[in-house]
Amino acid sequence: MPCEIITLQLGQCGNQIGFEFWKKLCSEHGISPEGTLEDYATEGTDRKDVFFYQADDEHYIPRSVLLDLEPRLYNPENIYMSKQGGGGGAGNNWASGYSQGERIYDEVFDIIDREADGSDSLEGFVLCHSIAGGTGSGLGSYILERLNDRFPKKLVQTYSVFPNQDEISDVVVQPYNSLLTLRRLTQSADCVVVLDNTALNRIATDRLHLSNPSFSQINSLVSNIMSVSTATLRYPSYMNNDLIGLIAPLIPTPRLHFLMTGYTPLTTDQEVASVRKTTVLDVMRRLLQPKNMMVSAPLDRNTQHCYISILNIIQGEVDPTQVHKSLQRIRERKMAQFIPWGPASIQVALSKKSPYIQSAHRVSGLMLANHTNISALFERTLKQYDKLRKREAFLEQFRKENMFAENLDELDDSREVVQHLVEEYVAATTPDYLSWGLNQASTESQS
Amino acid sequence: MWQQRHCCDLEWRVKLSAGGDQFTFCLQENKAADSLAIMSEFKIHHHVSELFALLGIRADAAERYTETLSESVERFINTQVSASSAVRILAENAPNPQAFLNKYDELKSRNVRDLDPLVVFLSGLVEDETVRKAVEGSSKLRLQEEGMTLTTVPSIVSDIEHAAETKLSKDQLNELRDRLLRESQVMHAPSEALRSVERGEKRTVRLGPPTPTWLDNRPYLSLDFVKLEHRQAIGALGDVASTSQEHQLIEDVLSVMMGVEGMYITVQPPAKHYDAPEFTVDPSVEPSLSTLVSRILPLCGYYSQLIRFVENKSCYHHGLLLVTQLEEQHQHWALTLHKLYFYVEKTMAVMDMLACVTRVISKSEAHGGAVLSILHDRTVSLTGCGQLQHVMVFLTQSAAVPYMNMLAKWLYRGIINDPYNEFMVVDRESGNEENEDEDLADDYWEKRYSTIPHNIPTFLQAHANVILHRSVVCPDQEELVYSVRGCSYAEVIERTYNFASKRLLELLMKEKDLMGRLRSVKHYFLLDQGDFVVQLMSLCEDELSKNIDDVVPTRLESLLELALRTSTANYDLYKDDIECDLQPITLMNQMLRILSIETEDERDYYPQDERLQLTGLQGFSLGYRVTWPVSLVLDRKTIACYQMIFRHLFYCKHVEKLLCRVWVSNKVAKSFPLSASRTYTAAFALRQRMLNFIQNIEYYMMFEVIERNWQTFINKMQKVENVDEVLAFHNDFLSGCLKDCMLTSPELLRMISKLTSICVSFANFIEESPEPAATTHEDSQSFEQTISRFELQFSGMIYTLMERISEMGRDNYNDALVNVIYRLDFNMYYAKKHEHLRMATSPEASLEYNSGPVSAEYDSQHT
Repeated sequence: MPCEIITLQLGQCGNQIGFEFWKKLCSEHGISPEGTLEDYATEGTDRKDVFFYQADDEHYIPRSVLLDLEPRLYNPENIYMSKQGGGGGAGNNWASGYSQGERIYDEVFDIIDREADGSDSLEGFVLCHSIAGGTGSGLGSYILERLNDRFPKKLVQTYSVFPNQDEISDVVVQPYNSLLTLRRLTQSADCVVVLDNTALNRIATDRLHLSNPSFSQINSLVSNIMSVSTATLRYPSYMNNDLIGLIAPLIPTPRLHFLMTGYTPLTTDQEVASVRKTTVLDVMRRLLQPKNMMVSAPLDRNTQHCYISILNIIQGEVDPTQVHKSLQRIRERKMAQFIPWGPASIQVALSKKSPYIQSAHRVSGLMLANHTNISALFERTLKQYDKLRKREAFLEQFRKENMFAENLDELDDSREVVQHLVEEYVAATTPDYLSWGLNQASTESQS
Repeated sequence: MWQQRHCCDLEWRVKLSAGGDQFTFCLQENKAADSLAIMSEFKIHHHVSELFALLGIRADAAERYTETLSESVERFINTQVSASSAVRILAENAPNPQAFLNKYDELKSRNVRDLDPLVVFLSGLVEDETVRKAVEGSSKLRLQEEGMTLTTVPSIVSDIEHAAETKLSKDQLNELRDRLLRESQVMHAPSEALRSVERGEKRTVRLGPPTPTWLDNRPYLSLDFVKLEHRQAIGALGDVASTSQEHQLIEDVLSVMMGVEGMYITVQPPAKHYDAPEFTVDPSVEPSLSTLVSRILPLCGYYSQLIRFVENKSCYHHGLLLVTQLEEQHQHWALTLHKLYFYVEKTMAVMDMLACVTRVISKSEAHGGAVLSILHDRTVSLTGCGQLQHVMVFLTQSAAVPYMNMLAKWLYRGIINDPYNEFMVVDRESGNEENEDEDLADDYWEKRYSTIPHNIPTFLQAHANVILHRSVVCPDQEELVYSVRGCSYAEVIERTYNFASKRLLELLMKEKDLMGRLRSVKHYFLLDQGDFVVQLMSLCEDELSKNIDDVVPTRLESLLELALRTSTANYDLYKDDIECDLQPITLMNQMLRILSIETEDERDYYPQDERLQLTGLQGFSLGYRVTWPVSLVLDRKTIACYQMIFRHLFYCKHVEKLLCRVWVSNKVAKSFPLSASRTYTAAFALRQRMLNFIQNIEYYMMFEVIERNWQTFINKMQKVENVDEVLAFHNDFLSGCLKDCMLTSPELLRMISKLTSICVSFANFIEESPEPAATTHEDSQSFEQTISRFELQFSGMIYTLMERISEMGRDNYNDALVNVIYRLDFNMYYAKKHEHLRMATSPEASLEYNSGPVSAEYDSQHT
């Protein structure tokens, strides 16, 4: 079977969202918690084999590798738990997670290799993790680098949870962790779907009217995004039937691969009745509104931020003629600002919905967008890092590990990479982005 | 159809050989015109193009000629007047007007159908200088090339002499004649055969049970003035008294009426079998009596004619009753000649008419349905004269009984029981009916049954098509009786047709699950289930990237099978009907072929070297096995349309895949140091533009064209009532798809394929360019130069395409197509850039777009 995808879940956060993701996939494909098909789901035209493999005639097993937590459904052989124990394994320290990765490399990659061998034509990996903690960020970074070495032609997509800025984190070294992970995300991942906890929490409180959103409520939002963004792979239609076809048009230049997501309708059960008459245009327009975006990027007055590319995955009863009309409307009213240095458009993929899940919404839509404003998120990380770094705070934990024992070059290098990333995003808003790098390069070589 | 075509073909050849002496071949052409007249416009087009291809005349002439033809078809349906004027024109143009007019009158008198249309058609031909010249010119060419074997030698010779008057020198002529004579001698046998075929056409074919021999052996049985061998010498009647003269004469008249020569009335047998015999009365008879007798005698003549006719047709005659009655009276001496005349007078008119009818029938050698036509025409023309019409209706009715039975059987049972070849529908394949293999996929049904134009009675003409197309068994049966007005059978025919059509529809929709079939076809041909194509493409890639001649079809077939099993197509009930089909022509030529009318001969016109350049990917297509009755909807032409869309989409998908692969190999660049990776930015941007182009084209075709048309089709199909509607809706769906996918415009398709070929060369170039670590400064410079050349080419092409599309949008408000522009240039990038370029330059810029064919250069270096 082609286009299989192996999911790697790292750390507490990664495993939580992964767990929700699999729950969602199972219900969409009619797979029971025992891994067998439900009676109503035996004659599906969906593709389960992208994310599941069949252990025998009856049992579907997720192609997933879990690192550090223990759920029931999964292939127990694929669970790796650190033997260090206590304090979340990596102790919320990137350096610890990373160096642990070096130690357990063989064991982890035995698992990954076995999974890869079990697929006919593996297309890539999906990695779920948080960039703030220890395991998700540290081990995640390490595994990203190794995946790139080992499977250079495979795609690596990550669902990366960015920390909530609205509340004070109990992880004091979070800015270090984030920065170090961001470097790996920039250099070793092919596509990063940014899940900003700040925005997710705001959406939960403002839009869903949850006064104190729980992790599982937030995670169900996340799992929803993850499942819809893979819907075209699982329910084949005309287009976007493989991961590459999905992400290649979104990412014109290799470094600018951080995607924002938006989802609509975001409603609680009480509101359902009022949104039933949603049209495609409504959905597409709402997706362009910042309040529906799952990334909280402060508005930057100095830069005309713009979309590099947009892919809307629309599900539900959609008249294909409406799509064109909506596109035309959006274009006429200039609802979306696009890059000036190349053709860019809103691609609309109409995707089927799972027949086993009753949805109150006639039409729903997910937007995957490459927007230059995402750089604001990185800038924020840089600022927080700079603050901490200036005080030389909490660095002793890092110095314990070999990587930082002699110097802190790794931190400085990472900062430079992220700084360049931010600059590149800003440059992408200008018409001469294509020559931006050249000037940069020439000044570099002159100096 | 074939026969008609062949007929046309043959007649035209004959005509051509005749050159200017068109009128001598009136009869044959008449048949050609006959078939032309009943043809729909399409068929006219078809025949004309074929004819012209045969003659080697340019196609645009054919176009014009078709127009003229279809116009004239309309014209001669409407007017009689034009016929006479046309006759005049023809007569004026003919070298021998009198001969022409004679021929015309003769044909007219023989009641040859559609004579007038032919005349109009011919006159049009004569008037149209260009066509005539073309026809004449090519006829000469033909003559030189082949030497006519189809006509008699003298006609060729005379024709050449005719031609020589204007063109050829004496030497050439002689040479030509020698050769022709020689060749025609060699070809003597076939030409004999052909002539006998022609003769055979004219003769009524004797079929069915043989006429009993007693009809020949016993000539007296039907009493038609059989010559008595020994005649007694009788004295002149004038010697006898007047009353006994009368008595004697009555006896004679009565015997003559019964077909026995009398003593004083002698008979001269007619020159032609359908003319009345002549009678002579003994000159010595008293004048008053003799005039009276001569007034009665034509009746005897008519009788004789009837007898002959009846005898010829070996039927039973029923005229004797009248004579027997008269005879009875005569036996009682109660009959005077005057009384006789009185009795006979009324019958005279009837007999006169009957005789007339029989004469016409035998003269025109009518047969089967044609007889009915004549009878019907006669009946209609007699409206008003009560008794006569009554007789005619009776006659026609009884004559039509067997025909109507045949019709009923055909309508209700679908059986043709026609031992004498009289029915209008002909089964081409009776005999090997069980042999329903692959032919069925074609327009088999259309070809199997066809109408014979001259066997369609005129009163059924309007329903001929309906009658032909019914094809399902009907349960209820009604008697079909001829009537003048013709509404009753029209109703029955209509009803059975509707019933049949509805039954067929039910069969198609319910038992054969037509919609399921179509959905399955959509999955494969319109890439509705993309995972199948992705799978197929990755499996077959190695095989298909070879030259099309090196592709192993069996391997491809098994890979297809694998792709079907391993994708969601596995759940499809009809997946086994899919097969591989490698087509050795480019999509462009396939399109051209489908756009123009396809004939067998055209196959040879396509250049063979095209094969060499075609890769398997370009030639790859799917096939679909269909059985009757689904083949009614998915016939070969329809499948060909699906295949075109498939090839187009498939190739676009392939290009998309190549570009995505470039993306994957580019992704290493993200960890490069900034200076190194920037070198590639231009390449990245170009790749993005290409990807944007190809994906938007795909999105457009799939969602805006195919899916939208499909929805319309589905909606229409929910209210469908008969099979014709199904076909029409399906056709609308396909032609809508073809048109909006730019598969009907060679110009647009050429641009698209140029763009895709630039994309392919670019992708190949990137794939083969060395890793950045190995590049020197010069390498990277040449890399950048190549990229910028690709960029110029691509931009130039895409501007042209978008300009052309928007031009087309302006010319003719074509909603769907203009949408491509919105998609291709959603953020107005191209529009702004183009504007910018136009402001800044300069003819040089536009020249630059067309600078050197990078892709071609590149290809020649690397493949």
